[in-house]
Amino acid sequence: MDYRREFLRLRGVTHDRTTDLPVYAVLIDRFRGLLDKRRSLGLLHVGLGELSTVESLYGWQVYDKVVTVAAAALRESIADSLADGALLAIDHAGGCGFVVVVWDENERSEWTTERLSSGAQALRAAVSGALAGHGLDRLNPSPQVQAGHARLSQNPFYRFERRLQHAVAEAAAMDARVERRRESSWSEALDQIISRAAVETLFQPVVDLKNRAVLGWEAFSRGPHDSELESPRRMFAVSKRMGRSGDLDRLCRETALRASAEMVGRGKIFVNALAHAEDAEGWETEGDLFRQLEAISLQPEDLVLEFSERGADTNGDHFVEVLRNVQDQGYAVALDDIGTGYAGRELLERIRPQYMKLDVSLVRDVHENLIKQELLSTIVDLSHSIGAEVIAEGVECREEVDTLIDSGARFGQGYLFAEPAPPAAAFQGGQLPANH
Amino acid sequence: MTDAPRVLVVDDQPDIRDLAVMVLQGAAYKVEGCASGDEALKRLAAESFELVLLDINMPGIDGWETLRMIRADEATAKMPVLMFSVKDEMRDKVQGMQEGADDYLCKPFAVDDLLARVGRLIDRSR
Repeated sequence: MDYRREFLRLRGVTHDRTTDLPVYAVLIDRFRGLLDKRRSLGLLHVGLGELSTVESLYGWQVYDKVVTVAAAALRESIADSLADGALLAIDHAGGCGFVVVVWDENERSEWTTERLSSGAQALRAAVSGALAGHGLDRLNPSPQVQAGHARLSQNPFYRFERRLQHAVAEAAAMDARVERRRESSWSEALDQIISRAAVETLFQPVVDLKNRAVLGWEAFSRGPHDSELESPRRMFAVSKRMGRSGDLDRLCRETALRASAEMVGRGKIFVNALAHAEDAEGWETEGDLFRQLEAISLQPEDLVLEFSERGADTNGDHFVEVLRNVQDQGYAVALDDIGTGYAGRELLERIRPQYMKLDVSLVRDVHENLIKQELLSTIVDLSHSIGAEVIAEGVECREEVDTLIDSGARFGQGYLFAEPAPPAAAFQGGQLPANH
Repeated sequence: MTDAPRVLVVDDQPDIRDLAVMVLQGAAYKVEGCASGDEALKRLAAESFELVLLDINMPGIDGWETLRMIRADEATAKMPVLMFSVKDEMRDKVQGMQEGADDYLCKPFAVDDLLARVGRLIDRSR
């Protein structure tokens, strides 16, 4: 028996891979030992809200980065201010949270509720500060740091394990209360957006990477300007949780198609066709798609309909059928999120999209990452063999552009070229900053 | 550069393994070959290497699991790992990117390509 390997395997289960922190249940004997000597232990909980949305939008690397930065900030803050006695662990239940068990070396003094509350707030502030220090507060939505606390007292009537679980749940619930309040105000905001058809459409240019000539414009939807749900990501995340993805998608598409009429003659318009095709709900509006297309004045050759390759994940054959149908009617198809692992060669060969849009997780820092470059060149080769053009999404720096061009990718979009903007501002003469 | 870098080639197919070993030896690397993920992990725990060339499809623990174990062990967490596989499958490359492999090479490989990738990874990590 290879003990070291068994050890590593077990460690992989008992410790968080990113931060190397133990899951709190692993420390149960330590906690029990500590409580045997004291009347109570304090328990602080720091939760990171919105992280699953962050992961779904920015990928696991960014999620890991947030968790790593948060864990480092907690370690430091604990060493500075809670030096007396504290154990840090991770809590994976319901997202990502950290558990800090605190005690006083002086066996008679206790962590009062006030002290716990201010301790929790101090940790929250330390984590928020560290995330901002790494620019992670600029993610949209940004990770929400919450803090709660609870006390763990001696009480032989209950099993210790369950008392611990209870205390963690109680502290985490205190976190969650804040989140819930925010959620309910967002739900109301979403209802209003849908009932008043209040989404706006922004356009971002898709450009030739070599000479910046504009191939076309991708239509993005966002909530009303200066509202809580202005961020499209948050708006879509809320709609998903409320089960209203279908309604919101229909509205966004309707608005985008209407706004696109103003863009005719300025290049192709890329419009999201089934924004949430990865869920069953995302398909609710499939029938409306064709009705909406018929109702607008755009010619099929002006439009490129975007579908996420994730749509193939749950509903493969039907997905292919819908895309063929769209192509038969003369619309070009762009397959989005390429490089996230859903679509393989076979699927792409069946669909033969006109455009393949590279996911930002593949584009980001592609110049520094050999395996991304390898994947990129596989995708570009495949695009050539099926006659598709590659569009890189989320291009942010010159080095990424150089690597993309070297690999044979032709088009790109991203902040390096232009941010999404309302129609008038977006194509002010169709100019783009020339030497950016 | 002091010593020739040591490279571990892990592949259950002897012909490919031997070829890779031979090519790398020809380029003045010190090369060891082994036939399974198990054996690779044992050697990595006992000896020091600068790069692992790791096949994905192997009986027993496969290349992905071997890679995870390499990354889980502090001593080898940062070791450059070049995955290689007969499949030129996009999904494998995406997975490689996600599991923290450093590069990916398809079999059968061109000798120059292998040498270029190995050289590049070793230069980077030094």
